[in-house]
Amino acid sequence: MIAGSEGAAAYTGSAPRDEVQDLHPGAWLAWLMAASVTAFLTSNPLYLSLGLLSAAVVFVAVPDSPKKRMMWPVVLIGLFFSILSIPFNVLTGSSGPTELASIPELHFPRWFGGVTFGGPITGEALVTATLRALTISTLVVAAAAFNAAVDHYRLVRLAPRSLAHAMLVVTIAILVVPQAIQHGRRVAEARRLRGWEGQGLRALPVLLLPVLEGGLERSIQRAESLEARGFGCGVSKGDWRLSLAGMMGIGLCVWGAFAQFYYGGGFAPGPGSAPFALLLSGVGLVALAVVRIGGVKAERLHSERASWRDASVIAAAALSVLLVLALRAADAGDLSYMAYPELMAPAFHPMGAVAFLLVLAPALVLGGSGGPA
Amino acid sequence: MIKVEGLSFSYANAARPVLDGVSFDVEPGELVLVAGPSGGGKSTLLRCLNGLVPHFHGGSFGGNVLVGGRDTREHQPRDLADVVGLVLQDPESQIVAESVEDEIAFGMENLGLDRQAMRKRLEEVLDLMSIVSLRERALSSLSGGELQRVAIAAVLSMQPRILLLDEPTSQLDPQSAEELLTTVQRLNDDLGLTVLIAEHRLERVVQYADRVLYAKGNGTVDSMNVREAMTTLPLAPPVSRLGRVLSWSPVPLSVREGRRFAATIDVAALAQPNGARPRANATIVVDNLAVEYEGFKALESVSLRVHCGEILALMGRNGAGKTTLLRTLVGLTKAASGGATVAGQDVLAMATEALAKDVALVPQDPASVLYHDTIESEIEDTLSGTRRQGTVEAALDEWRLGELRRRHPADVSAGERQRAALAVMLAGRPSVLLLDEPTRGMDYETKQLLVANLQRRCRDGATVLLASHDVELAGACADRVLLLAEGRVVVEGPAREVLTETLTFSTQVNKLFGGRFLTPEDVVGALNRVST
Repeated sequence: MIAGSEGAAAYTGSAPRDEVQDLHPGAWLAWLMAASVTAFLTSNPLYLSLGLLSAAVVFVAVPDSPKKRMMWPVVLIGLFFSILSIPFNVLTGSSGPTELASIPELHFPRWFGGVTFGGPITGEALVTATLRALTISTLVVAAAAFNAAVDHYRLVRLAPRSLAHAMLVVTIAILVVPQAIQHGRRVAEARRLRGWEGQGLRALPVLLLPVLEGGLERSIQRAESLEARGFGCGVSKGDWRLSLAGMMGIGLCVWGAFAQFYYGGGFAPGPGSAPFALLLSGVGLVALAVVRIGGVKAERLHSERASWRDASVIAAAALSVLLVLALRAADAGDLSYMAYPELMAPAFHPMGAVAFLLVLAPALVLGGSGGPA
Repeated sequence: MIKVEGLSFSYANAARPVLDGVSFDVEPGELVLVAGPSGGGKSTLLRCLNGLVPHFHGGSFGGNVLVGGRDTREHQPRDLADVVGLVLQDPESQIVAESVEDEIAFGMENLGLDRQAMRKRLEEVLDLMSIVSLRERALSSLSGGELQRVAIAAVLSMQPRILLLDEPTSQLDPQSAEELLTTVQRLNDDLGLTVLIAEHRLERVVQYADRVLYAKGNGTVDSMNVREAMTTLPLAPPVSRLGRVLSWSPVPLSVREGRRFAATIDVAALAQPNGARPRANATIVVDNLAVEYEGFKALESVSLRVHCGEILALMGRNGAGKTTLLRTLVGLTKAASGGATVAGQDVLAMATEALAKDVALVPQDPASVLYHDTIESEIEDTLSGTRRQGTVEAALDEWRLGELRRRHPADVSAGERQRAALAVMLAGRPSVLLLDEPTRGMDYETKQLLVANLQRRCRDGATVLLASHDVELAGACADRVLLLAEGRVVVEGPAREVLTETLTFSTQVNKLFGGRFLTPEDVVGALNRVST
């Protein structure tokens, strides 16, 4: 139960910055990268489950705060849609020899997407769809843990000055969901005050649009305030090259990750396969490093001190990614699993498991002081 | 310092321009009050002065705005931040960081100050705004008033030459508002800071202002002398309104100025206004109610009675527990112990939606209660949800929304939206009305409509419990007043006893005449009785 708008601000208790609870936002960023990259780079259900479990443990270990409470609905909605995607994927394209059931086929006309719905339902399709859902769930949980733990302001500050304009847009994007949730709670309360039962999915279609609008409006107000207080001022005209390099760097990294996810699998070399995607991401990271080093350094009131905790989380994250990459390169560790041509039990290799257990690192250094709300 | 020439602006998709051919100058060191009805363009005008309009808001922009010699069309808001600082209406929507020090440092870091300078300025603004004790706190733990001070400190740390304040006291209790405005006035006096304040509660600001910019609501902005404005404009603080009725000349702007005229009236010869008649029939009964949030005692053994046909004003500092009490009475917040019945129903055991037929709560933020396409369908939604007796027509008439019935709630002005929210939440004559800070950001005209409607509902047998910081509102309509402090009842009694002879909770008229006089109408009524 949250307090009223006045209450919510007043009664969450004073929480001065606590050394034990606080990890450097850079460490969280490294962890988020590791948790999502490792999830992208495997298709073995055992490892995927392990990765999801590790991310979930980290989320639970994040100290309780208003921000964290805000993330619970994000996790639930994310999981809901991941699970929903399984029957959808199975019904829209099923192949493979292990037929579990069959339902009448429904062909949509070309102008409606030309999708075939129904037909035979195979175990292979079910397993493949479940693996996708596992990957997406891991990403959702990791992103939620990251958002629950990180002070967005400290994160925004980490960005090089030349990327300030891009960060403004990113800030709006980051804030939309928590702001919409906050707004949604108020709207839901107003609905109950107007005599409608608060719970139940029937309310969702009525409220979804106003809530999203409200969330967007609030996060734009926040961005307005950033701008009015000089965020990104004094970026000289000569910095456009760095800004461009930074944007391209981010773009390449994202593209690389998606290429890996959708076309990866590491079978044939060539555009769209793993080495190509990694190359993209690598070039992107180099570009970002150039921006970071080449840009103007701004002075900060408090310098961000990194502790042994941050160092160990970053080390674990790096190790986890490197381990997965090495195993893939050596074609060892049974990282990839294909439900086709026919279903079989996934293999398990201790080294692979280690890579996914390393994702637990923040939970270990946080000492599990959180516990579910 | 500020030069505005032929400024026009209309938001994308808006039917008419918010600002139309506005021209004025502001000299360095002036303190200017921006007044006018809700939705009259006050906020837009302030946003024009720091470049958020047109750079951040889409729309058609015409004319020139020069701020500190820089044209806002050629400079982004971020490049004007060292000249002009803007503090937005809602402090919650402008915080960036999670701790007070980080929040204040944000602007300075953007300006590229070195660490020494930042430390020095940080200490300065912490002292200036009296928030040294908050420096280590997390922003999420601050009250609205504390947040507002932090937001102003954050802007001041950038040492702008112009400070724009958009309704800075709308969230504050009378004491905090007074302190804040005194600080602003000192900045203006000592540092020569140019200040523009948009504000509805003129009694708080008018005595400090050098000039009034009146945004009429039709797109024009008139620059006026303060006394001229208070003599002619429909909005004026109670002491000026009284001065107008009694033909005091020049019209007084503050209680201090009014005293000279008040001395000419023999108060002892006037009949004191009648106190509220004691009533018997208690509709809201609260006994030893306690509410806790995570170990924090929001309310401790609160007991109160509100009777049928009565308006009780709930007052007290920010964070005193007013909102919590109202929420508990509709079942939105769970009580730890004690008892509460409203309209004969045990509210602690009932769901909010089941109580909605008899009990209506208008929450603080009017935008959050509306979620349909037209104002008409919003009202229908309440009537069918709560199964209250009543018609859409009646609600539209009561709040003067007839012509807006088919408009989208997002497309009407801020004042109209407030009226719509009241119409929606109070539709169908519920027997108990709970209002949380209803006059926040409300203009004079809407406030009068609210008072008239509440009084009529009371005559028809409704019961009203109203949480507010607005002393003048309480003076104008409350029968009884209850003061809360830190979750406990401090004092409870007739308005004419509680709101009189105190420093912070007295109305302007009471400060002038003492006794049981609260409003200009009280005094005028008594004078008429003497002369007839």
